Amino acid sequence: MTNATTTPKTTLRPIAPEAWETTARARAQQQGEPDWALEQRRIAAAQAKALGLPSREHELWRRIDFRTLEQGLAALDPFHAGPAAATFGDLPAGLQAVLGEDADRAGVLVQRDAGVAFERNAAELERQGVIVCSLERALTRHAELLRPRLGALIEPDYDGYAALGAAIRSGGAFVWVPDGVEAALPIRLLHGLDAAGRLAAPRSVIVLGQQARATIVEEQSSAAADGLAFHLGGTEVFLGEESKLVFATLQEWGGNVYHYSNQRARIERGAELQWIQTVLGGRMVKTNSYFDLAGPGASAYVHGFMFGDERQHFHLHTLQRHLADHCTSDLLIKGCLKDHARSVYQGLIQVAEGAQRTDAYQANRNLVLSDTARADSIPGLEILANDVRCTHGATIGSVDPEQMYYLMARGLPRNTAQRLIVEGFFTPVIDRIPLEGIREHLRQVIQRKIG
Amino acid sequence: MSYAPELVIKDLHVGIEGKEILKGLSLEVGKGEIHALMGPNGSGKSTLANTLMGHPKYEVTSGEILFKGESVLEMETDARARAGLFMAFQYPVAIPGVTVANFLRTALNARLAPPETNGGGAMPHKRGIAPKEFRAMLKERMGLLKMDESFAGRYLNDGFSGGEKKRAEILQMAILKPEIAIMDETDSGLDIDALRVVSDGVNALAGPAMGVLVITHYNRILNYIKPDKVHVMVDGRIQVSGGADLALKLESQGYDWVRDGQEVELS
Ligand SMILES: Nc1ncnc2c1ncn2[C@@H]1O[C@H](COP(=O)(O)OP(=O)(O)O)[C@@H](O)[C@H]1O
Ligand SMILES: [Mg+2]
Repeated sequence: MTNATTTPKTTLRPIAPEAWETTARARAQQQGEPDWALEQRRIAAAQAKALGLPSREHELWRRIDFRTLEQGLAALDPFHAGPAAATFGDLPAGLQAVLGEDADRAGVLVQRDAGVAFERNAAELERQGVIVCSLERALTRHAELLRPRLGALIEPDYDGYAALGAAIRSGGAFVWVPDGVEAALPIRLLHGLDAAGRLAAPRSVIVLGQQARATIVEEQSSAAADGLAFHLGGTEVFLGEESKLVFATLQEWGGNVYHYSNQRARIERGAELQWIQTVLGGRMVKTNSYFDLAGPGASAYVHGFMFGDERQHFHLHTLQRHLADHCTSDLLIKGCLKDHARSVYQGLIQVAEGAQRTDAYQANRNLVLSDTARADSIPGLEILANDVRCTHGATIGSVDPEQMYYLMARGLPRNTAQRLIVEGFFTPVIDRIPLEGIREHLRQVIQRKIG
Repeated sequence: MSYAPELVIKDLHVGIEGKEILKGLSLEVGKGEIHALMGPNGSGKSTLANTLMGHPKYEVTSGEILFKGESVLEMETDARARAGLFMAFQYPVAIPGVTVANFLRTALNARLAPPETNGGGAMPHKRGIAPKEFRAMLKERMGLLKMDESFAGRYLNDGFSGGEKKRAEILQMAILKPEIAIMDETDSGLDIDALRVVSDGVNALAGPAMGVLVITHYNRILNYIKPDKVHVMVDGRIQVSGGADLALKLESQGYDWVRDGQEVELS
């Protein structure tokens, strides 16, 4: 169920104008992109054409409705990029506000629509040999580091959208933390969509060397706008042996944005990934996050939440893939839905043959605040080893009336009581987010959404 | 001397899921008074406490509850609490992810907010007591109840021991300063040291500004909290009322003599 190519396609539905791919490639060539990367684009374009739009019967596409996007896709502009900013102060106030006052204590990269507008590595990181730059720049300056990694984890033929994203790739970040280096400052990656009508297809590559350590926060933010916009993202994360990465990906698009992203992490022997994902914005949102426990003793701790209101619709798919022995994966995804919002969590634990002593845990907890909201949970296990401990569980419920009564018996008005319960529900995830400024911001967004 | 009790319960009949539990209960509690309500398990003590707080499951079929001279029957639970009614729960509910400090500050701000801003349900945010002032107050009240400072950062009732839950209830009472406090079996599940601490806390808070209704089915707690009046409840009604000595009689003779229907007025 995790690979689109296994699903028979009845009718091919063309995905996007062919001119996009030729234009994207011509522009990339002009910017000095190496031949191998151009060739990747060309192959991906052929695959996008061959695959077409994902079938609505496909296991991973039938619980989310991208029809409005499909109809409007060809009219989007996949090349518009916000103007480059010479200094942080030249960025739009809204984006500066997202990064906040902590921004000068971090390596920062800001993308606007389809292009990176601002890159500023911190001097301390620079001294350590930590690289934080746009993927475009990395393709000219650090091509030898990228070549074995760009496209190595996201299968180019995963589905039509993923192939399209690789063909018209626009922006994204490259982060490199050398062996043995503990990055002295956090790294902040921000993507904004300036207006409706834009399509951005960033691809990011993050590499931690052996025993390296880093904290990376990726934020996606836009003001609500009239009309479609589309974020078609891809992130590939490589954790070298015994490295440790805290990676937070926080999505807060305006209500007009369609979001589809593929996120992959490969975790080598003894390395540890702390993955935090929040989904608050967007109209239709679909993410596939795969965690490959590739070397003995690797671990992945995944904590995420989604909070939908109005007609938002989220589909989170995760895969904990245990490829080696003695690995741990521990996943908790929480969902809260109000109004007519809907969420689908679809999670799978796969344990390969020989991946003995696997310890895998998957939990999905949902809080449904209105009769018209809906949460679905589809857990799965595929276990090919015999000495493993795997558990999964899901709950879907409304706010406990006894909790409401208890809080109201202390004088809290009904909606304040509900806000506290929902905040409390999200707290275990929020507490894992590395920067207090962001934690406080998320609490405010949650409060606003509760209304 | 004209006496206007803070809480007046008149001929109260209450049902749950169609079954009548309170069958004509009358009781008055004034400020500065400590009343004990005793009765065997299942006699309806918690039903009374929850009816006073407005639990939606309990249906008042007839009778009246007046608080400060006004009927509370049409008031929602939160409005009753803000008006100054308080119940220490027999079984406090856990609220995971919400710290004791955050909860108490929110509750105190709700209690302090002028009534009109609370009417619509929405609470003004970031007003009310200053965080620093609140922290000092919390520290002082926690000290009174011999609670460790780390307690403020724990999630409300989440993983609390029985004794910690009861202390947390009294801490809430100490912060919110109600005018009438109903303590539903606060003594149950407490060891003797905890019972002493909790009772000392209640005694320190009780005074001319607060009336207390101590609900219990043992009189152990009444060795520490001295009631002005004792009421004995059996089968949804107060059968006997009297002074502190009534509790002693219950201890030696049990409830059977009350159950037998002898309406004795001791005083
Ligand atoms: N939620 C409920 N649903 C049905 N019956 C209840 C409920 N709560 C209490 N009762 C019944 O009401 C009666 C009184 O209970 P309660 O008020 O808890 O007594 P007490 O606190 O004195 O032990 C008991 O017979 C009990 O079974
Ligand atoms: Mg009881």
